[in-house]
Amino acid sequence: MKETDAKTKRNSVAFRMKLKRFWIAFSFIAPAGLFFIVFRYYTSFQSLVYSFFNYKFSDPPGNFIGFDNYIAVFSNPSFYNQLWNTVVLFLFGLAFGFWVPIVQALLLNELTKGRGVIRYLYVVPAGIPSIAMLAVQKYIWDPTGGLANAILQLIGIESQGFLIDPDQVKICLRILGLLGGGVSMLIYYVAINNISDEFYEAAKVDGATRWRMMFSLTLPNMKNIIGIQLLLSLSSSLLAFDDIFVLTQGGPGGASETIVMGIYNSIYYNSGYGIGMAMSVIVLVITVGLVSLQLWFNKRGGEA
Amino acid sequence: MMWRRKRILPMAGNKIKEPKSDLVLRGFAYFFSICWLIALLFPLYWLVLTSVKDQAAAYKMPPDLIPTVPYEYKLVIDSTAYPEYTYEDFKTESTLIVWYEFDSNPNINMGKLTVQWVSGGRLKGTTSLSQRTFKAMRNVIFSATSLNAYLIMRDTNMSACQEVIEDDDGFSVCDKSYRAADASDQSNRLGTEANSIVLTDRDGSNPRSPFVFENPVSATSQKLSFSSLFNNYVAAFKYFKEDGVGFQQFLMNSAVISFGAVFLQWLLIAAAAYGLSRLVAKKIANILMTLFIATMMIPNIVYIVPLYSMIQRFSLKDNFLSVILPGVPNAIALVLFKGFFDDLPKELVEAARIDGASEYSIYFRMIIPLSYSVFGIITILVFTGNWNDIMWPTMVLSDTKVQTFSVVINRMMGNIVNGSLDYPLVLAMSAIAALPTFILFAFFQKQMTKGLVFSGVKG
Repeated sequence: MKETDAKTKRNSVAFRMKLKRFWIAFSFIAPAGLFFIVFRYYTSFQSLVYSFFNYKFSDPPGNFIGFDNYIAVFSNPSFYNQLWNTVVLFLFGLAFGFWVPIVQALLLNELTKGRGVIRYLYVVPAGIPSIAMLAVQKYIWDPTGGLANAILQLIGIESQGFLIDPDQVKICLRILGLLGGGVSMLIYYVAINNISDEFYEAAKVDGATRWRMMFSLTLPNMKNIIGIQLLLSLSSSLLAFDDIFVLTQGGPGGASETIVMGIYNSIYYNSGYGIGMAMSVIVLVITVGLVSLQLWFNKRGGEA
Repeated sequence: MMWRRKRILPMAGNKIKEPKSDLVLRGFAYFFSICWLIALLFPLYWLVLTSVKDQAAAYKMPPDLIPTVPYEYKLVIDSTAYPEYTYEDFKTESTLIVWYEFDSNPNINMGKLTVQWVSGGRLKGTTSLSQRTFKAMRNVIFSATSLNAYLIMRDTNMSACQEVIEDDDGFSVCDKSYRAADASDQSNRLGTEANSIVLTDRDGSNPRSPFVFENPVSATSQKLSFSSLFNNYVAAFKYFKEDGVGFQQFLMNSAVISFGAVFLQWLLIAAAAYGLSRLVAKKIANILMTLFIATMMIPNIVYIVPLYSMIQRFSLKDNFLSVILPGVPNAIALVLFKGFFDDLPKELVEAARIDGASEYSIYFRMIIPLSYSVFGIITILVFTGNWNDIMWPTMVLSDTKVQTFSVVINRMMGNIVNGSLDYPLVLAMSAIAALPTFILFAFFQKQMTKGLVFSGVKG
């Protein structure tokens, strides 16, 4: 009898200790966890559910209408236009912007004196708020007073509309990617620096030139980070909003309207909340697909 | 470790002779790196350059590549020969001269125009106005209407003489003790015919005898005025108003939001990261971390409508909390914090536990003082992120009083006044707003690298 008493007592002490530890851990984690649940999971879940409703702000969530929102999205030609714009902007981003930081990082790695300074200056423009950079861009593309037309005038080409010309707007939105630099350059540079010195030593003993090392050693070792960045640039093209919102608002005539801009416009100007949420669920599905691809890449990188 | 320099770089004195192709490559690398760098930094130069131009110069074709320093002009009115010339007359006359000059020469970069009143060899008063001020006033007060004496007198007394220096008697030109008499004066187009204006006291009585311009200007002079280069910056702070709210207020709103967001990261996310790192079993911590990190996959556009309706339901619209709170679940910050806490030596915490310290005092007294570096990284990352944010503040902050500078600058670029956008003012404001984050990047780049690279790879 006495023995079991002691045992339950010991058990209860242990249990109380455990409970106390649980409450302490809970008090540390729960407040932040609540924010994650409310502002990410709960709201996303609501989006998912309400995309099947004829959502009304005055009386949420309105009537259940099944797949009507999705049907409306897929039967709307402007959705395909937005999809097309998103893809074209992504491709222009690849053509003008994506390779630039890679080349810059490779070249930076070949420098001896002053490398630190140049690296530093490459990253500094990342400290300028996006609205300021976009204001400069808007001024550069201004049809009457902008730098772009001034340069064209200098070489004898007549003035262009740039951001107000439907044929040129997509290129203009992405061509300044040619400048590169910023955080993405830094990412590649760090990746290059993380390649083991031993490879280079060995290559040097074998008498490889720096050119050879760049193409046969550095680049193959950057394969993973390039893959990850490619997927990231795909998902960031998919979600591109700020630059288009500030520079063109999707115009002229929807020529630069991406999916996210389309969601914003449908919510803001047409009160198409249900349709907006249906589109955002489509975006979510695509993003999750891309992230899974990225995770797969990461895993493969870990094995290699 | 990240920044370890490669030892295998070809250096002088190496035994193996450098192949010629390596030298070519290095020359090529230097050439292109420097060219690219110049191109990359050019937009920054363009930002600063445009912000010190005036509007006419901003639309000039081809544009100037270096700023032209504007001139400051000075006029002296000597009234020694006119004993009846009073202070009121000087006020009227100097204001009219200044405004007339600026209004009729919109394309000349006159930095500043100063009118001095001298009588009997003694300086009795000064009026000065910068062109930028004039333009700001003109856009605000006289948008699209032509200038006339009546309007000038009415409105300059309200606001235009803000730059007027007090005279010897401590008498401000800007005091509002009198105004132009009646609307019939509107026929007096400045510089055309009748230059006489009837002035009255505030209640309209006691009409003063009209003073007729007799051009008592005795001397003019001009000199380069470097301070006038920054007229746009002055205008941004002094004259820019949106619904009566100045630019300082917008910067302040951005700062409050950014610091609030940083503070909540310190308070909530750091604690959660510590809890996950040290207070729960590894298995549970991994599950929870996966759940938290998975939120990175959800783009913000996905939950924007329910979030907006939630903000409305709790009447948080036009409240800073509506911007700050949804930003709290920041998985990148959580991962950075947790990674840092994981690397702290376990023995420290164990020893403190054996000494009987509570988990809270371990966290606040021991862990936080050891973690300044990671707190610094998070501060910079979160501050910059919130400072730069455009979309969400645009949606939830519709009252001008609480808007951030991004929202306001973005709206300014949509408002085209008189056919052209005031890019110098917009870019001066952008440059001011860029300063805090620019300084963070310039001085803490090395410390930030880890966080930046991480958020770039995973984000």
